[in-house]
Amino acid sequence: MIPLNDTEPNRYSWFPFMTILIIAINTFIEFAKPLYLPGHITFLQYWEFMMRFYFTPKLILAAEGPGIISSITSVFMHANFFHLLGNMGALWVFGRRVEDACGAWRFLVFYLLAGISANLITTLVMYNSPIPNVGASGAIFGVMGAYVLLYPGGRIRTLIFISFVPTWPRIRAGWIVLYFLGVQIIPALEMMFSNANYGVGYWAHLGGFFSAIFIFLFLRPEAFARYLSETPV
Amino acid sequence: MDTAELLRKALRAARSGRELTARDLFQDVVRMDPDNEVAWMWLSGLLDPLEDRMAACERVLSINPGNQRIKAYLDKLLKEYEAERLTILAGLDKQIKQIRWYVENGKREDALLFVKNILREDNNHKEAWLLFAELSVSIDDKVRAYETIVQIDRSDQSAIEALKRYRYFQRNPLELAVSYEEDGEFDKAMNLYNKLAMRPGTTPAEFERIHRNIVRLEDAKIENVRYIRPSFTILRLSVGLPLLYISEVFIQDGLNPIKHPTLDLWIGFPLVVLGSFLLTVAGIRVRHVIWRRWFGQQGERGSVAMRALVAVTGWILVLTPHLLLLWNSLLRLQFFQIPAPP
Repeated sequence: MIPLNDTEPNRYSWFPFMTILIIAINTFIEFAKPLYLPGHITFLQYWEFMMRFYFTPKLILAAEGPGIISSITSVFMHANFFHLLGNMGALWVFGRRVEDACGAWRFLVFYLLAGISANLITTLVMYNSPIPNVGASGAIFGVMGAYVLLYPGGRIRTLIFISFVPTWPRIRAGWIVLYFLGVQIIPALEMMFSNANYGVGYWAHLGGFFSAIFIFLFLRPEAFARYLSETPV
Repeated sequence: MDTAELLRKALRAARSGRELTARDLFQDVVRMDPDNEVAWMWLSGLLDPLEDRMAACERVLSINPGNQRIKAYLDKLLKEYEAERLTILAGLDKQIKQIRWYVENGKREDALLFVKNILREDNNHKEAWLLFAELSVSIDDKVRAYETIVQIDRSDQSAIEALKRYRYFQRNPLELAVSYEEDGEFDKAMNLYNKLAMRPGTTPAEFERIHRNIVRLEDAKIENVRYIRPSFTILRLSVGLPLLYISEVFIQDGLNPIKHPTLDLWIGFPLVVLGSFLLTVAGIRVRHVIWRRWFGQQGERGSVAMRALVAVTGWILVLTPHLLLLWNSLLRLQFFQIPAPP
């Protein structure tokens, strides 16, 4: 299941400036990484890089290392190109109208808050983990949660393969988000109770998703009034 | 015919009960002889409005100040005049109550007609002028109403403030429309937007902007979008940035800012709260006490320059603690002993 596009138009603004800018920054960082880390680096050098710019719960809890810098940089970094592609695709699909309902700058603050909340939840749950975490996924899940809260009836053009045959129906956003949320919960519980390690920040995803509730602090006055009036935001 | 003959004729008419003829003849007499005390005395009883009769008495007294009979009569007339005035005022007050009922039941146009009638009867009725100001759609009418109220009662500070406010809106009518919108008076806002769109000299770009606002308000009205008080909006929008900052401080201080005390929490946080509040006030342009108390803005909405100044102050207050936090983080990064991989 790959979300392709939100089929509904914007109401308040015509161009998702901040969504595009965040996608551009993430993409730039991914492509600039080889400049900072030239080819043939050792694992130790890569480890040093990760310790500086990725988010490590154990270091955060001990108030060691770069602290907030690593928390922010990790929100804009990805493990590889496909990780970037998946996250930025989701940001484009769900972020455009969330930004429309907030305004560009408030959307940026919400995005960062969702990313940092994801890191906070990860630290609380995986407090002893020395493994560095990376990715905008927590913030993206926050945006997805906000989208479902604001536009429960929104329809997303989604690519689905049925017996290897591609099809792209318009599916309600709630079902898509429920699917992505559902696949996080079991591994997240396993990580919590049996110290399993899947190399994926499931708790960051869940933490980001629950931070979606903060979207109400960032909505435009009219969008908020519409939400309270139970009319389309 | 000489004055004496005309006076005799007038007296005959008066004594035979032909009051109108007598009044006209006495008026002819005083026209020919303005100091004729007898004619003025008769006129003080024959003229119709009470004010004219009192004026005739005063004229008699100016000719013969010792006329005790006319003095007593003037006192009686003054008492009558006062009683009549009180009756009229009681009637007007009753009408004011009636108008309030019309306003409460949404019949604003009827109410405005009533107010205009009252003002025709008593042009110095303050409450009627206040109602006129409240009910008028035209800013010019509002300004005229408050100008009169201030003339009637120079100590009425709220009227003076309102006059300043509406003079500001007279110069910036679009601001008034936005202000109506923020006060939840969508109909008034739409009326004003329509007027502004139709006024001569509106550029196509302005028309387009105003038209968008009209469409937006119409949609909101059709969809029954509820009104949210601006003070609540300011409170709501002021929370986001401090929440982000406190999350950053928690991350920076190992989730325990008390154990690792830094200035980020105790000084940085209040600054971010204040900055976020200023940014919100500048950003959403609501009528706010800041504009009136600090900058003396008559419209209480801040000029473009003042809003920009408040926004810049807000940004500085928000960004400074963030930059200090990042600086602290950079220092930690510089002296960071990277642990060995597990």
